[in-house]
Amino acid sequence: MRAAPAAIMVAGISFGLLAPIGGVWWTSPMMFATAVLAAVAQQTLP
Amino acid sequence: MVFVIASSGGHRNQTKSWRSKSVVFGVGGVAAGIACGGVLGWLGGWALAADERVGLAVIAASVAVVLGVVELAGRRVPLPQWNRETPQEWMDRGAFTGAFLNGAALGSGFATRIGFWLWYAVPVAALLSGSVVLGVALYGTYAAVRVGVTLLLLVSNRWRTARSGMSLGAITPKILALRPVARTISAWQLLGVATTTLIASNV
Repeated sequence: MRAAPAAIMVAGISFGLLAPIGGVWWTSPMMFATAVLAAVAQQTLP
Repeated sequence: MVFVIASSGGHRNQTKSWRSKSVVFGVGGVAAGIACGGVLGWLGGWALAADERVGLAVIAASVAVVLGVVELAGRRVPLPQWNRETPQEWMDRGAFTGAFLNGAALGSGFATRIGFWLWYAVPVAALLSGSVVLGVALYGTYAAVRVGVTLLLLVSNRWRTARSGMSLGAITPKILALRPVARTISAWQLLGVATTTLIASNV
């Protein structure tokens, strides 16, 4: 499982830096991926 | 959270179909996400100048880098949260009210247990975007995915129950067992988004 998260991070950084939305870098696809991952991770909460 | 929609025994919501409750649940979740994102985006634009927002983003990202590294090292850092599950009493308030409140709790994220530092990136980014539209898009994405996954689990459960007799109670432990994996991926993502923020702000 170590390679997969690292790959996700690298892909996220690349994508996030390359494609900011609306000229605001912290709303890049990286941030949207963060929102998605946070939501999915929380499904594992009791 | 699926129980509020799926279960019915002993509660006033037993006369309502799971489909209609699912719709109300989804509407409640997305509406809460839109409301939270809109308020935060507006607040950020109203109260903070652009350079202040960048400065705060750098501070937040720096903290997030530390948290991500510590979490990846296997140490749990207690996070501020309302440490509770969805109150079961909500089911007694009526089928649609209960489903709406449950959806809103999940869509807002902070009304129940948060569990992951990564979650904080959503409201912080919505605030620092300084834009209602971007705040709504970010927080709305979070809310839509969260209630969407919940509804997928519900539909999946109904399908499995019909096919193999496996109940939600049997599926839930399997989902909960994925938490360590989710924690690792979340920590990596936290580190990644924080690093991106720092690089993009030329720190």
